[in-house]
Amino acid sequence: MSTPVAPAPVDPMFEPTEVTIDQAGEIVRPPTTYWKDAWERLKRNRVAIASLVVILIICVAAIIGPAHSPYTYDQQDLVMNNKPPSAAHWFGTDNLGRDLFTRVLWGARISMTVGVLASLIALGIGVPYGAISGYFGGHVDEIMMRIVEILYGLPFQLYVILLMVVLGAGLQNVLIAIGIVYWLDMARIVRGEVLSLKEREYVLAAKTVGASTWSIIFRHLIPNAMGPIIVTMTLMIPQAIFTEAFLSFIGLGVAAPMASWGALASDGYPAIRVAPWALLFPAAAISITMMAFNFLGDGLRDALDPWLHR
Amino acid sequence: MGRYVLRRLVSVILTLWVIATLTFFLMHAVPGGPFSKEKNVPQAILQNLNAKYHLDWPIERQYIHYLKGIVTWDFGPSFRYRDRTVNDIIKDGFPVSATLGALSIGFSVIVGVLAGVVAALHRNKLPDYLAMFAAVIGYSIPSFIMATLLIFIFAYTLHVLPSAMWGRWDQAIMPVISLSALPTAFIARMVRTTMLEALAQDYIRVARAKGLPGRVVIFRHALRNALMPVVTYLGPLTAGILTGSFVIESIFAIPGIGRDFVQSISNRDYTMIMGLTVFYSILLVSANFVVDILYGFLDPRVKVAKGGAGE
Repeated sequence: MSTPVAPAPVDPMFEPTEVTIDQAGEIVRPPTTYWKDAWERLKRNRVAIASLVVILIICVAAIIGPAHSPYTYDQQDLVMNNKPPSAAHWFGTDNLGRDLFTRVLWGARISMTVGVLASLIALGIGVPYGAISGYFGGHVDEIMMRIVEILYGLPFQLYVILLMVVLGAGLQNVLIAIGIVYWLDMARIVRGEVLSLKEREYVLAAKTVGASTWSIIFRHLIPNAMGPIIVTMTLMIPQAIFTEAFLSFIGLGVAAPMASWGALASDGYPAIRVAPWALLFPAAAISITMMAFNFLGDGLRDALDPWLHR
Repeated sequence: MGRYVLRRLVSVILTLWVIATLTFFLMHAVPGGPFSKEKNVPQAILQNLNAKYHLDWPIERQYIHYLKGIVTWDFGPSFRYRDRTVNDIIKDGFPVSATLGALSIGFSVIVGVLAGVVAALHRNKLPDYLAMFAAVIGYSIPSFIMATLLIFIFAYTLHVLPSAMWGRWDQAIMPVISLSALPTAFIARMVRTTMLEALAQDYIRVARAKGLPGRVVIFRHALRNALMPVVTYLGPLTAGILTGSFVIESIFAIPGIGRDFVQSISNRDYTMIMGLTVFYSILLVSANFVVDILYGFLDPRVKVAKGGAGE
């Protein structure tokens, strides 16, 4: 696509065009950014897009659903207990006659909040930690990674359980317990990325023009490590949802009468013979959500890392 | 090699000390004494109770006493059961839990590797898609949900499997499947990836060029190299199966340590929680240690002698 730039000596066979030097550098094709390119690739992955739609639907349902439901999550109707799904109660009712659809919607709110916030906490601690460790290298890296290694040796879920025993049940405590354990993965991944990114030319260029260390880390390195960070976060959300459900199941999650999906499943399980729907709907909600996040995470991994393609 | 083992051993001991200390101080950070929830306990009895469990000692002394106990394999008493120590619980429950764990680990490794190999050999064909789809489902359904669903289907609806208890082989089927679903899925995906990588290597082409039968090429040459990451995964796998067993044992009423652990949590039996946590940690840290050393022996390319930087 080269266009003549300098006015050539006049030749009867060739007439100089109107192109000036300024126009020569113009890019004819619309520019594609990394993100647009990744989005194009993601769009071709039907499973990932379907998962994204499912996640969006669950989010919307979690945000606006409870307000539009004719029941509240703790409204009891003992005459109507353990009723199968019907027009009035889409998912049936539980042993106290509470509307399960409403409770599953509220559960979505709690489980999604836990998933997103816990992974944000992990992001908030893990990304700077990993970036600093990877960028400075040497003794700093050695010490910071030794700490991570020792913490890594701890049995994670045991410590989440232990923390919950100490802190007591409640949404905030679940977030703390999950968040302070999950940042390790993020720190490791970001460190690995930064280790290789810091050798790139643009970092040298930034240094040459006098960018400060912090601006190199936060303006250049972390944005360029965004792909793996996003993938890790997407895969961390189902992990957090699972951990919360697990904690709720053994009675350490979000306190009653609010109920996450895990707590609903745990409540529904004893009544499995009388009212299987009280277990099946929350179970399906957890599984579908986790599946959607896992598929989306896989899709994102493929889309954001073009070099992985073969 | 010897130096590496020694270095790892030191780090194992350090990790265990951190775990023991963390556990101790976490449990002591619980607001209120262990007996503060009891109603109307006369002051004298409370004092006696505190004296029995050394709660009247200053905290440093309690800490040292506790560390000494761990070193001599004594995980302390239980607050709830007067005549059962943590050691008793472990002695009764561990064989059961270990059987369940070993069965689950065996199941996930065998089925996971097979599924991964089949998927890799039929890359981008139906068996591959089926196996990988099943894998995502496998690691999207939490073990406790899987367990309850299996019970609902096979015990209550079809009446083909017993819903609980432990001792006969058919009572092990559902617990093992629910515990191994996730690791099986994980191993299958991992083996598929590494198998594809291995199959693209030059030595596979050499093996084929030599005229070796396909079976030998796949199992002797490709699979052997593709299995190395599975060995690394054995550590986290043990940890996952172990924590999974808490809920699974509770659901299926299996008399293992996991069930006691969950019970001690709802009982707020702090010494029991502490003792079992430390016991579990010792188990896991040793498992990781063994896997690390094993890896060094199995894969001559790993230069463990140089410290291996932990990448």
